[in-house]
Amino acid sequence: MLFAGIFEMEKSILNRLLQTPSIAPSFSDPQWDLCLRQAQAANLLGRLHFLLQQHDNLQYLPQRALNHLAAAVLRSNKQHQDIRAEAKRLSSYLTEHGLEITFLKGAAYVLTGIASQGRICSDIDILVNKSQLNQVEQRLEDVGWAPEAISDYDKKYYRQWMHEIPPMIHLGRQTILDVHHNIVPLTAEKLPNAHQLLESRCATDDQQAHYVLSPMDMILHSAVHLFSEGELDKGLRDLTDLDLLFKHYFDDPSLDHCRSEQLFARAQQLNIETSLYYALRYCHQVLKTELPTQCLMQSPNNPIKLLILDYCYQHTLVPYHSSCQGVNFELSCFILYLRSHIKKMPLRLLLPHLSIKWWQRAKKLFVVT
Amino acid sequence: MTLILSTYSKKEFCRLVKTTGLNVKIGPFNIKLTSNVPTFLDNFYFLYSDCAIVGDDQYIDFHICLKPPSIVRRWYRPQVNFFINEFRPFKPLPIDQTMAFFEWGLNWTIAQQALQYLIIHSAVVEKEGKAIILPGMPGAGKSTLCAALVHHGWRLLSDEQALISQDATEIVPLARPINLKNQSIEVIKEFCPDAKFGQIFAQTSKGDICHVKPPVSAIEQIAVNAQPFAIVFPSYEHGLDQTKLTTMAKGETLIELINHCFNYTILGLDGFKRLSTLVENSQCFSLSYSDLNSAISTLDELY
Repeated sequence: MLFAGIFEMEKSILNRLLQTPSIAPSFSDPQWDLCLRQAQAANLLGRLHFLLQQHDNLQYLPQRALNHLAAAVLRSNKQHQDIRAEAKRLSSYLTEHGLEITFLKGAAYVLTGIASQGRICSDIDILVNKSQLNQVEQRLEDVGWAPEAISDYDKKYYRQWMHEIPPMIHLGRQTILDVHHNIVPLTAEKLPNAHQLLESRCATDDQQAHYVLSPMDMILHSAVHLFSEGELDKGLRDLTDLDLLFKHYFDDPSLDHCRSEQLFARAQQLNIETSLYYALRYCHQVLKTELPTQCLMQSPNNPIKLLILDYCYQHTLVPYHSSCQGVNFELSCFILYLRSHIKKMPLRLLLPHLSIKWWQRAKKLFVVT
Repeated sequence: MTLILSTYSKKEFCRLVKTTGLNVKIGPFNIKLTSNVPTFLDNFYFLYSDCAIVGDDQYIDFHICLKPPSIVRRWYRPQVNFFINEFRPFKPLPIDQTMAFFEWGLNWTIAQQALQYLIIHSAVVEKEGKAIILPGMPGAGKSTLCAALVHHGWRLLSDEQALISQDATEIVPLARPINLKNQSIEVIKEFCPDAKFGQIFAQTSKGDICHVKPPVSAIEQIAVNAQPFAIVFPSYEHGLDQTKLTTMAKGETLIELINHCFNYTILGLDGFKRLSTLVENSQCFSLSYSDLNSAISTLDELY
C-alpha cells in the first residue's frame, strides 16, 4: 500500500490532448473538467481555446467548459491590450531620450503576434544595452516606475550576478517590468554576447514603433530560458511557446534545411546550442511538434545524461496540478532544481547562496500571518 | 424529482464533504465542495439545505476547498484557507469565520471567472417576473432592504451579484444567503419574524456578520430568469421622516452603474452594450429611506 503511489503513473490529460488533439471527441464531461483545471494550473486556459479551435474540437466541449475558455480568452485579450498600451508608452518615452529598448518573451509575442495565442504574461520583459542601463533605470524612475520591495540580500545578488536588475513596478498601473541586460545570468558557464542579440534585433512594423529579437533569437532565448530554469511551474506553457515559435520559423518545408542550419549556427555563435537541442527534443517528445528531421539528429550529450534528462523533463513538463504530481514528479523537480543552480553558478557561490535562500524561506514559514 | 442537500442526513453530508467532496448547484453554477471544518459544515448544511445536488457525471465550474493550512495551525490560533481549483487567492482567516470566508471567496470567484455574465454589485428581487436591481456601496442598506423585501412577497434573485445575461434582457438568479452586518441583524430579526438566521460571526474584517437563509421559494425557482424592470439605488438615512423616490436620468444611471460592476472593463464594448440595453429597458430611481414598511410600499407602487 505504502509504495503504491511510487509506481502510479502521473496523469496529465492535458498533455495527452496536446499531443494527440484527435482524442478530444472521446472526452466525458468530468474529463473536460479535469483537463481545464490542469490547463488553468499550467496558465494555458486561453491557449487551450486556440488549440481546440484550430483542430475544430470546440464542438465536443460542454457549454460550461466553453464558458470558462471564453472567459480565459477575454482575460488574455484584455492583458494583451494593456501590454500594447504599456509598450507604446515605454518605446516612445525611452526612444525620445535616445535609449534603445527591445521587448522579450511574452511582450514580444504579443507585439509580433507570434506565439501570442491566449498567452498570459505576468510582467513585461525588456532588454537594454548594458552601457545604457543606468540611464534607462533613471528615466523610468522619473515617470513612476520604482524598484519592487525586496530584501537587501536579493538586491545585492541581482546587481552582482544577475542578467537583470530587480523588478520595477509602475506605482500607478501596477505593471511589473523586468529590465535585462543579458539573457542568462552573468555567472553562467557559457555567456552569450548581448551585443550580438541587439545588433540583429528587428522592428515589429514599418513604423518601427517597437523592437524585438530576431525570429531566430526569439527561439533561442525562449529555449535558454526554459532549459536553464530550475522551477518549471510555467514549463509546459513555455514549451507551447516554443512549439508555436518553431512552427512559425519552419513554415516552408523547402527552406527547412537551410533554416535549421542557420538556427544551429546562430545558437553556436551565442553559446547556447545545448538549450536549442533540448527545446527541439522536448517539443518533439512532449508535444509531438513536427520538426525538420535534421533538427533532431545531433546530440551534444552522453546517452546516460540524456536518459536522466528525458525522465526529468517528461515528468515536469506537465501542469503543476495535484492530479499530475507523484513521486516521479517530485524527484524530477528536485534533480532539475539542483541542475539549474549548478549550471548557473560555480559551487563556491552557489552553496552560500542556497543556504541564505533556504534560511529566508524557513523564516517565512514561521511568521504568524 | 431532483435530489436536494437536505435529503442527506447531516452525518452523511459531512462524510461526503470531508472525503470525496459534494457537488451542489448554487445559482447557475456547479460547485464541488470539500472541507473538514466542523463548524463550517454545520453552517453550510443549514444555509444551503434546499440546494440541488449535482451528479458526478457533470462538469463542475468551481472546485472549492476550505482547509486549515497545517496541523500546527489546527491547534495554535486555528486558521482556514480558501482554495479555488487548488489556487489560494487569499491569506488564511481565523477558522471560526469559515462560513463568511466561503461566501466572500465564492463572490470573488464568480466575479473573476463567470465572464459570460455582466456582473453588477447589487441585490436583485423579483415580482411578477419583473426584477428590481438594488445596487449599493457597502453601508447603503441594500442587503437590509433586500432581506425585508424577500420576506414580504418578493422573490430573492441575489443579495450580492446581479448576473446579466448575454443580450441583457434577463437576470439569472443566484439565490444565496443574505449577508447582514452589524445593526441590520437586529433590525431584520425584528422586522421579519419568519426569516431563518445562521450563526453570528463577531468581529470579522467587516464587523459582525449574520447570514439569512434564502426562502425555499427562491431556490425552487432558481432556474426561472427574470426580466429587468427597475434600477433603484437605495440609501438608508437615519431619522428621515419620509421615504423619497427620485427619478434618475438614464445617462446618470449608466455612469453610476459602471462603478458598481465587477467585470465591466474586461468585457469591453460588450459590457457597455449590455449595460446600456439594461438601463434602456429599466426605470431608474434613487430611494432614500429610514422606515422599511414605507420603503416596501413605495417599491410596490412601481408595479
